[in-house]
Amino acid sequence: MATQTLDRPAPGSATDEDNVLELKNVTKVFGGGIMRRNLTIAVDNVSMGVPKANPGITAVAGESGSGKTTLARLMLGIIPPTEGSILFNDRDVATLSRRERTEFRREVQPIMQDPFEVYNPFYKVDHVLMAPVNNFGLARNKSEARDLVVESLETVGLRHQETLGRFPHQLSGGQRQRIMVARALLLKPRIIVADEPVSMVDASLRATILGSIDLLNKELGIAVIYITHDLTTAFQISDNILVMYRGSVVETGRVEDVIQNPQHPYTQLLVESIPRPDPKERWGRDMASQETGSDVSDVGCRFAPRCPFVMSECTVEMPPLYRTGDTQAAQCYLHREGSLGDVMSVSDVFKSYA
Amino acid sequence: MTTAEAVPETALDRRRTDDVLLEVENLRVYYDTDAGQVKAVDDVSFTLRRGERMGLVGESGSGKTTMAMALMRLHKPPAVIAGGTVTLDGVKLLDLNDEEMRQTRLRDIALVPQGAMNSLNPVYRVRDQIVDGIKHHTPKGEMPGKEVVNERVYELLNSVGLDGNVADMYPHELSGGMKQRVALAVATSLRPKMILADEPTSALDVVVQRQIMLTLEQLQQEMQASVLLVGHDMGLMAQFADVLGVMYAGHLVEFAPIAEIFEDPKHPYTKKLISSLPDIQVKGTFTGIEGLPPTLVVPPPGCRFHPRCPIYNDDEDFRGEFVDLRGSLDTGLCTTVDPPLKEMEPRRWVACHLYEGDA
Repeated sequence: MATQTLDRPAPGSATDEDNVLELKNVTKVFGGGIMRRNLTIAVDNVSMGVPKANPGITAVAGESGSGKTTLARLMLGIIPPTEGSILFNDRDVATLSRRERTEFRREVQPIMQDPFEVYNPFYKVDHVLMAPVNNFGLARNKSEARDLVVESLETVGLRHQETLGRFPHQLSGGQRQRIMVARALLLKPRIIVADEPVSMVDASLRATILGSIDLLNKELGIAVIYITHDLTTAFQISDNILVMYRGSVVETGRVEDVIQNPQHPYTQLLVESIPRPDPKERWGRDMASQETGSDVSDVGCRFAPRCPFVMSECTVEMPPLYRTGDTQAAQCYLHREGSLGDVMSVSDVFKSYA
Repeated sequence: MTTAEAVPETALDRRRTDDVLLEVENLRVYYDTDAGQVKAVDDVSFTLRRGERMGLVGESGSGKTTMAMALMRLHKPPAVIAGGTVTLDGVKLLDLNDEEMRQTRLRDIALVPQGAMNSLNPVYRVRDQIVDGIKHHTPKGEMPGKEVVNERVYELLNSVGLDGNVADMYPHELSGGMKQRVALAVATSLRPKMILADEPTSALDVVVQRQIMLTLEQLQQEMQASVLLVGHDMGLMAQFADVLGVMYAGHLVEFAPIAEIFEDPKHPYTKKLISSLPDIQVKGTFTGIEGLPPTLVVPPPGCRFHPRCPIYNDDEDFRGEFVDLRGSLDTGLCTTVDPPLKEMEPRRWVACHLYEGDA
């Protein structure tokens, strides 16, 4: 394992062989250029792993600009990290051989946000499903290929009579999105990275689509990374959660604990702002923590400018992820006292209750 | 006449609870398409009181946005208003000529558009966008002087929680939340009696969403304006609305005060909508509604919801709730007669054969 020289060394982070995919101190910086201005740290020193055994559903939650989509793209190998490394079966994704790369592409599958964008309107939906079968040589002949496609459609609750042979515009948004799930399923991947898979569909269809994603995890043991801004669905389908704010993981742990008993002031603000479907429990009327737009701080905690509990050290140095309990960790100095130790990799927290 | 700095002298009167501001009667909006006539809004009636906040929910394609746009006569062809009346504070909006309607917009009924990101003109400063609105909807000769208008711009920006210096900024310099605040400032610039908001926070994060909705509420209360909030997020409705209308396939199928509709939904569709809401208290409360919304070119015969209706189809996990009612239901009606919207109790309207005898 070639160890790269990093600005921020990874203390004691020996490669975890139990992980299919592992992010080690991954940082992604956009922009900069000649002027070194407008640097955006989209993902800031994130370490996490996806285990081979009993992979759950892990939600990555945050608002726009939190870095959650960048994290997804890093995991999918679409973009390389600026610092740190991403390992697939203990091999650095940046240096995979051609063969290993094909395997990586099959094993780590995306489900994208907008099911309208991924379809070529001139091809029937069959094309979307047959392309991976052909590209990865999943079937020996045409009828076997068709059987595979039909089977994967049925798994996500679609009848092939109502989908195959049709053009994308003849299908509803929900059907299109489920076809994307079926497509991911065809390849029997180890990991599915779903980026806001239900943000474009009606509330009544969300349950069905998330249900089929849940099925992939429970029945087929596929690890799911569920990228979302919606804490309610994250709570409903995930086991673990990472809450991101401006590139950092501010809180992580078991989803029930993080959402029902949030420890980071930002998570608390997020949870408090969820429009609860109960007229008897209306939002608090205080308008504290106003979003002011461009209040980015380069040093210290990114949330400090909006934080109601800000202390002097918050603006000096980024706090580490303190373990606040057996199943939870928060990147906040409020938890330095009584912390059960610093967390090096997000998945260390998940392991403690898996 | 509402000038920039005028205070509505009727503010107290407006709080009278039985005071109807908007009355929609048998409104029909049809689209003429190659595939046939699409009855996007089909015989919709309701009343909204002064100072009241109404939510309007429905799946995409249920006709909620078409209906809202038609109220302001901002529906786009091929949509045409095929019948009905819209009465705002005694004025029949559908009878106005185009110029009269233009004067009514913004002054009496204003729109907060979906995704303010695209509703602001990128080459105009915020100040100019606000002044433009005031100018366009104020009768000739009644436009106040430049200083008064400028003063009003700062006042408006402050009322939506923005600094005065935002007036000199361009839209691209603003965050999504700030743009939506500017849209609120534009919509309230002439102190309208009614504000129509079409998914005003759909592209925003929850934290910003809450701030925008609370700002809208503050403005609405201060002006005693009525609000029609169109959307599909029942959580947002629960947080904001006083009364809720539920649309399904072009019909208003239920209308009731928000607390009552959450407590005791009458229509099976509303029932499903509410029981399938995910929450952060209990896991596994997330079910959705089976089936797809019908095509409006050839809607299902009888009740448009019957193919998906848990009562009509006698769904097992739904039986308990309605077992008594279903006993008296003539399911033959569901497939033959389109149930009309009937008032069961004051301000509780429902369109379902289950309540045939009660109305």
